[in-house]
Amino acid sequence: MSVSQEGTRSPRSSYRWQRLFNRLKGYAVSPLYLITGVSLLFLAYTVLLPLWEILKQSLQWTASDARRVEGAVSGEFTLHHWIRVVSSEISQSLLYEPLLNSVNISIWVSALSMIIGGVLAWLTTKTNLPFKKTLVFLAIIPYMLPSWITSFAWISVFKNDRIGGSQGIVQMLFGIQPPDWVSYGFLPIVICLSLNYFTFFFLLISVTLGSINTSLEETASLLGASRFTVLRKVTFPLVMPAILSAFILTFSKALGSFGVPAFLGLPIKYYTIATMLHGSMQNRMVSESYILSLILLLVCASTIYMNQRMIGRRKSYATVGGKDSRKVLFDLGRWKWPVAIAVLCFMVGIAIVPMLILVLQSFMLAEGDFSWSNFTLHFWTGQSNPRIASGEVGVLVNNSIGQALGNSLHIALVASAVASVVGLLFGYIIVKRRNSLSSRLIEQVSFLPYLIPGIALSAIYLSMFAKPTMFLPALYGTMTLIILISIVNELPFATRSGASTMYQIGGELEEAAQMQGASWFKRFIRILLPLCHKGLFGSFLLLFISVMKELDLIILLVTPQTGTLTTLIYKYAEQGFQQYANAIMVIIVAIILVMYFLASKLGKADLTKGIGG
Amino acid sequence: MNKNSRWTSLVCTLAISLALTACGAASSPSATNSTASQEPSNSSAAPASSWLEQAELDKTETTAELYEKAKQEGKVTVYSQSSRIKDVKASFEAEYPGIEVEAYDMSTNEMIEKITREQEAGLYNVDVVFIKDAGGTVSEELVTSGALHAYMPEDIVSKLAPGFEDSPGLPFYFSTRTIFYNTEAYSEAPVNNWWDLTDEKWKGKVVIDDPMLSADTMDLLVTMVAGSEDMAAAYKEKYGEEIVLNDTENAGYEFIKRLLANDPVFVQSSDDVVTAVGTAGQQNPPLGVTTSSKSRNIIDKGFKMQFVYDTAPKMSVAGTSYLYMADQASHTYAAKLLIRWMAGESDGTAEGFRPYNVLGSWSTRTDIKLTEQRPTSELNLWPYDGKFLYQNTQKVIDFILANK
Amino acid sequence: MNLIELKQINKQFAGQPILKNIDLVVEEGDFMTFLGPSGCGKTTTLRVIAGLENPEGGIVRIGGTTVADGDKLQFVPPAKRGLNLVFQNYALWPHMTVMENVAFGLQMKKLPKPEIRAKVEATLGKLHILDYKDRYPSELSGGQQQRVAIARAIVTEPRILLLDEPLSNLDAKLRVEMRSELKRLHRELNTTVIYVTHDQSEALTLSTKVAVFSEGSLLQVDTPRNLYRRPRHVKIADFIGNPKINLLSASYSQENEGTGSTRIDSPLGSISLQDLIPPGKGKVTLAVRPEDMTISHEPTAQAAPFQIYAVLPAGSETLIQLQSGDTGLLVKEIGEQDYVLDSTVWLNIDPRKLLVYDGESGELLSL
Repeated sequence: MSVSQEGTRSPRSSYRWQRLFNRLKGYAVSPLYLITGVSLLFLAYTVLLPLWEILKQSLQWTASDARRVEGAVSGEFTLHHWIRVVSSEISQSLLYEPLLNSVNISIWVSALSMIIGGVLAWLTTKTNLPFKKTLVFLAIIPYMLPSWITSFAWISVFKNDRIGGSQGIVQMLFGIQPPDWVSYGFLPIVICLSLNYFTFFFLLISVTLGSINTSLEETASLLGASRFTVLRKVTFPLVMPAILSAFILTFSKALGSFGVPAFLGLPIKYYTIATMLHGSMQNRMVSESYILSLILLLVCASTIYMNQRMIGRRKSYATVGGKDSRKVLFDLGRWKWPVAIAVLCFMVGIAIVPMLILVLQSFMLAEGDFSWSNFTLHFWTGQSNPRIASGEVGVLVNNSIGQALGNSLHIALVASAVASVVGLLFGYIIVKRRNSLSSRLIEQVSFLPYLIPGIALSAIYLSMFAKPTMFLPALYGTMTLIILISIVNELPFATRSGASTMYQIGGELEEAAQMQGASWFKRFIRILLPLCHKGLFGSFLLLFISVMKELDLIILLVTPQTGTLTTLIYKYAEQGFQQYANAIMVIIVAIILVMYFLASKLGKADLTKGIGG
Repeated sequence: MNKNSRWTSLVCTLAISLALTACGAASSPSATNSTASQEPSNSSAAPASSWLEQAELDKTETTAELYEKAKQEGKVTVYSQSSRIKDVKASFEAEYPGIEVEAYDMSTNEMIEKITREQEAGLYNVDVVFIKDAGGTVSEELVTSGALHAYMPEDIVSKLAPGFEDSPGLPFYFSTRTIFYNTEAYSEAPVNNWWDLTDEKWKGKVVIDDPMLSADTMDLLVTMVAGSEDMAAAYKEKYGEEIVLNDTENAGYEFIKRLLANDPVFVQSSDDVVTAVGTAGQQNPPLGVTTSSKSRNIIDKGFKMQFVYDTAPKMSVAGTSYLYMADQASHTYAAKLLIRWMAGESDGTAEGFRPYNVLGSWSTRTDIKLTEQRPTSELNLWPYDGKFLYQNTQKVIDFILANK
Repeated sequence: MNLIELKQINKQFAGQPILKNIDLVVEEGDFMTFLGPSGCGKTTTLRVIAGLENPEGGIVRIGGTTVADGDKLQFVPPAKRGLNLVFQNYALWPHMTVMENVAFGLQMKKLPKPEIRAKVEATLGKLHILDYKDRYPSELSGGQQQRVAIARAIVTEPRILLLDEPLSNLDAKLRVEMRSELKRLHRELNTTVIYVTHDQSEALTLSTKVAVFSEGSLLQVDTPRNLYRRPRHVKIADFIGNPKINLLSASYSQENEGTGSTRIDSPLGSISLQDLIPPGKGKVTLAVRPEDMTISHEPTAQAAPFQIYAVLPAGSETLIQLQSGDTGLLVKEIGEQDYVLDSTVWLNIDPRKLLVYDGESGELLSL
């Protein structure tokens, strides 16, 4: 034995240089290594570098520090801001209290979303509930709507006298004032966010439940397990990875959400990290807001890490792919119709009603007045009337609507198309180079943009791309930059989706083409892309929805030529022209719906595949 | 061996990809060809001093002179805090054909961020900046550092109301943060002193833009600290005795502390404040503190509300909007023309001011008036002390955070 | 002629060696089977030959050319090795029809369209699936999919055809049918085949040569007959043959000095063997095929008494389970036989068919 080992060692050492040369040559010509390298570089430049900038700037004196602190020289190193945020007399109000609130909200939102999403997913995949298709469609709508709509609806129902204005519906009908804790703060924030984010749980759990081989469950029942035991011992563990995945998405989203907590939390001074962060930004405490972003990022990352540690990184694809289409549906029996009606009412309440409110309001002169004379087309097609909204014309006759519409579509189409393909490539690397350092790097770094607040990311991008850098021209002021930042912002989602799509395609399908002499590019185009198209279109659709709704991220970077529908909303809302803003929102939702139908009819897009089942 | 090879592979991939960056650029999404709206900035090469000399900001040209030269420039870019800039664009382009106005509309904070970062990068895109002082940041940082310059034509400055001649930029109009009340519930102003807001009677009944989100509200509170003697006097006027401070520095801080202790209702925007106060048909409407310019909603939205003119010790602080010329602006003549147009030109009749000549806003000029409201001269306002605000805003924020 | 040559192939995965110094020669026209339990390295070796995996040490030569040099890290891409591979689960592209699946490789070679069509149709015809050429894989049965996978691999006329457990996804009947199909194809196409399986009867029926793998090493390369009759290692003996070979622990000692014969004591009694074991005493393992023993109702010389434990008739043959103390043995007899349960019988063994393995190393000791 020892002799033969000697035998193999000696040629190796004599070939050392040749080995090194060939290894390098191997990397250089291997498409997998090449795209891995390019991807790492791309991520380093678009994600890590901005993050490093944020960290660096939080450790430097700013020009405005000079006014308060003696000896502060702009640009020099200091721990001042960190100490101020973490341990000073304002830390409690600036950091700890909001942080506690944020974490609290996120945990409860995740839990509530899991219950709503899980129950809905179970009902629509595993039982004989009627109207399933309708319900599935309705369940996706809240994701398409802007999150403030739900809080808006909540306030119109449950508001009390505290914030004045017209009466809430509860107060109007029953003459009682809801207590503050019902109207504002923790409870309504959790409910409203859950109603927006349960879609993640719904889609992911649906996919897994749908793919679980029924026989697994049946076997357990045959062995004498009760229904509950089957659910607990068989179904739940199988669904666990999906739940974990949805939890990560929901938790991070809830942690960073600004609109709902600001609207519902401020009246009783209930702050979250995100509202504080926004406030610090507004008050030019830029360093402090950077530090809050970093802390937010840290909290989120460690939560995800702890979860993965606790539950383990099981992957859900193990059960997927079995072609067993035989499904035994749980018979709801005499509860079938009552449950169906209850679920339908609930879904209509959270999906259709907010949309109707949106549409109705865009036709109403004064809020809350349902008399016929109060309805008008003015906000859509009206010519300038000085008595209404300072003579603002209707949105459809506004000069900038065409351009904004064009820009929005341009950005959303290009960004979501590129992001979904890039996500697929990243997913390819993650799956192909499983367990390697580069695979983990790509998986984890690409998730970071999810945790960086949009406004912080765009401020850094403004600096980074204002002048020509490395090989790129100055992108600032161009559509390209807005598309680029949208792509980066959507990478977390796109990558997760791409990876799970790739996990479901056996490696042998590609190897078979490799055996036939197909180059990597040919394999990708002719084998992988067609096989992924459902997931790819699904991912594209979800990204499209998200990009269409994006505002925070791009507001710093848009120019009059690159304005979008959302920046138009911002302009209207800023002047208090809510009806105009609603009208634009209706247009956005309409575009999303059209895209949804196009993608699912023509592209056979499957949202459930897109989210990464 | 394995670990080694992994690292080698990483290093190699990075090295190779670096070598291939050119190819990466071609295929990377960032290179998607889209229309770049930028034009090459031709001024960046010139040293600052020579630009200042050429710009002749201290000179007062006639409109005709400016128009002639501005036509050659062809366009002017303006960053504006107000979306009504689109009306200015329309009227200006009608009056001065051949000059295109490129108007960017964004919040004060975003504008500061954008101008700072652009100029750091050597980009001089903007000519005219229309902005409030935002806690003194603009006057103390951007103007001091030379990012923005004042353009003060003699003919317009001579028309300015007293107190406005000495401004960091051309003062243009102002609005003010003041107390609103519901006119259905109260036939006349239910309060006449800022200290009234700290009374038990208004506990939980004062709706106000969250100072953490609204720099203007913050300006008012900081100005009260600056005018702490006035605040102390108003206290004495109301209660007939000297104020007793509870661990605070002066009457200004004491007011903030007591206001916060009286459970004010924070909201996200001025719209929320006026909706809370002005909505018709309320039994027990709250008071609101927000910008006077929201009184347009009385007509726009049929709100039943009015703001209080006579509040002791002062009505409020003037939130003045200024017009600046940006450093290294490439269209100086067009910029001058636009600034003059917006300020109302020599005689105060230019249409550029019309979008801002509305209820709740006041021109800084003595020759422009709105008959429906009190003239500027009769308003009892604290002056806007940019320096003091700049020095103290952070301290007040900390104070608010600590007392929340 | 040596078509494929593997020299000192080494490969590891996550620090664990999975191929240890594999040396192997496949001759032109061979039907070589890689046999072994899962995880023994047989599929990895196949993938190393195919070029889908690269060895960290050692050399692979095909037709005299080095296609993989693990020492110099020089590797020829799979498509340039003149071979093709049929995957375990077929790996048919679900978005392409049968026609498109099979034509893919020819398209990659940029052959003219009519030629591609002709070749594809000829191949499909050869495999009797021409009628299905416009169907998608999901519309085919498992056996038909299997045929498509094979058609796709042979349409490019490779010198070497690699098959990775191709029959493991088929039911028993189809499997037998496909075996003869494969054997016929091997003849017709005149190619060299390497075939991976964990099914020893498949290996024995199909191959001209079998390579037995265990834990990353090659244990024996031999003809099916030799492998069955004289497995060189107790592991192979245990693995090959159905019903399984009988293994018995025994001890041996030198008989009369100088005669060279050895006495082996086992539950089968004492047996004398000539010229096989180095002098001394020790432990050995005896192996004897169930068909190499005969049962008699009367005691005979050197026969050991056993009780009938169970009788398992299987149509053309009968398996008889015998018991004596702790020792159980299986005997196969041709035809229908009947025994009274628990009755005592005597077992005769032909000593020439007895295999003796070293008790420690498991190596074959008998000649």
